[in-house]
Amino acid sequence: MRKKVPVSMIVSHILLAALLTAVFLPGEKAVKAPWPLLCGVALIEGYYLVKIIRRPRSRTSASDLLAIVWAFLLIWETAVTKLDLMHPVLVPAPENVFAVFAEQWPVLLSGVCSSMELLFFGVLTGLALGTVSGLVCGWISRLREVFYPIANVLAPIPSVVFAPYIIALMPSFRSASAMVIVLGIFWPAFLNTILRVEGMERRIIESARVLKLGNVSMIFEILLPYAMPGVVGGLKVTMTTAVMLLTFAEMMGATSGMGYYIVNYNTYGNYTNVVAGIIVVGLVVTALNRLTSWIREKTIRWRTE
Amino acid sequence: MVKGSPGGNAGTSPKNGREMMEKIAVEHLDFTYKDSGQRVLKDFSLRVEEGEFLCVIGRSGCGKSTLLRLLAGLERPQRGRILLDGRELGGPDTDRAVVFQQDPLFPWMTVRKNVVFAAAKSGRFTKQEAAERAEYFLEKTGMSAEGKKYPCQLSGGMRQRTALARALAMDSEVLLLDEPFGALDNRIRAELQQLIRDLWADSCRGAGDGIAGSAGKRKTAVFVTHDLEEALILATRIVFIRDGAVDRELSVSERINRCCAQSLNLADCLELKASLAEWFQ
Repeated sequence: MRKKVPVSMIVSHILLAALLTAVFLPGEKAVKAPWPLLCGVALIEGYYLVKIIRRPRSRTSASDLLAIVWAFLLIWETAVTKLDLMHPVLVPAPENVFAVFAEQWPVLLSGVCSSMELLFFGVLTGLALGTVSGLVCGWISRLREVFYPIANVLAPIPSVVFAPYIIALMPSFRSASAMVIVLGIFWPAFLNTILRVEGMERRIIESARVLKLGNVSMIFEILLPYAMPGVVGGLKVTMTTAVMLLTFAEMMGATSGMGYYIVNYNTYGNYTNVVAGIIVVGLVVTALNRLTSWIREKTIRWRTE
Repeated sequence: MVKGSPGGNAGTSPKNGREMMEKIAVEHLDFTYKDSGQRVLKDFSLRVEEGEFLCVIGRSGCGKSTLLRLLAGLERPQRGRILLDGRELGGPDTDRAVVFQQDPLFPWMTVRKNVVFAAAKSGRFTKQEAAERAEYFLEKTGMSAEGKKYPCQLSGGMRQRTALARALAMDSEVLLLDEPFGALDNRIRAELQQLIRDLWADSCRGAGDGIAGSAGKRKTAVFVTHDLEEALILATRIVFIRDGAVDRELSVSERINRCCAQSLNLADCLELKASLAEWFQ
């Protein structure tokens, strides 16, 4: 029996055809060559095709999303390039934005790598310190009684508030940026881990107690794996928070990274590069979300959802 | 046959006639839950001989699970003491293996890993020996093929089988079981009752299985249940608890065990069940 083609699949490809037509039609505004834009369109279409071949059940939802993407690009292309309806400086043409990807990809890639280095260092350090401290304080009641109230006072203070002071304290902007991220990740990890240990199922604690495990064994062989779903499950939020902190920190005085890229071109009024930078940050965040989903899938298979 | 006396106990095993050593001595225990203020055990005393399969039975709230938790070292009595081989018990230790009603498996470990972990942490085996013991008892409990699965992928009966394998792999001298089959259906419960009888009988015979640590040591089992039928199937001796103290004790022969396990309606079996049921109500 032939499967019915979703309506959104037809609509999305009509929109694609309209977009391609719009790109090649002459317009009011002079723009750069459309080839980088067309490469971008080809990549998006290719990704869509791979997705629906691998997962036929996702045809409808993928087609819906694709239709929105093509509709957005079509509106952008028509409003800016063809009809010149938008502010000439603040709203760049899609051809010009995609041309930035083609011309400046080494710079963008370098910025992404610089940001990711800082991001992963900050996230891993903050998570590791927060989780281990949380496990120890969660397990040893005396420590919990001392540090939990302190954490409740310090944790709600956004780490960006400390940023100017951290910049003064640390030897470089880069280390200061890392510190801002570590602080921003540490406190939620610390508090959540304490709560997770407190809420541990009694049967698991007693199952461990009857094996007469020492504190170190209890913390690293029982509490840590038990707490991992909470840590891994919250990775998406952790990463989003970290990216926000990172971008802010880079805007404050860094000399590399995506945040620096955006604020630098913003200073010169080059909004074409600013928009390109924003798109790159969006793509990076999407990739990070996929990575965290994959990590979650691989590390906590033992959980029933 | 059956011997019964309030607070009395046999000096020789009904199973093999050997003179038995006292394994566990519970002396004048008082226990009150701090949260509720409920006094559960009152001047409670009990003796458990080595190699016995003792069933502790009573109505809900009579203190049988509390007794087991005290034996496991998970609670401390306000008064009295518990001796194991003449030594006063402190907290939990690996000389006692516990099977709870809710399975004690660690959800992040596979079936095999759960059993290996317990055997390794008992302190009696090397890693290699622990792995061998785990394999042996997984085989015995019919869980060998499920070794790579996680507890969330198992049925209730399978989880309790794994819990049994875990407890046995530790090679502890004492097995404490707190209504381990309480949440299972009758068919699965009957299978597991047969399994535990066979495994405990193996340990009594000192079955030479060649597995490290199983040098023919007889295990002593304390099994808490609210099910009279289950107690008659499993026990060499039954202790009835009422109002936080031992109300009566009953030695049970293998014949009665077999009759109840096979649901044979023999006259003496039926008579015994009737008299006990009447008391139990």
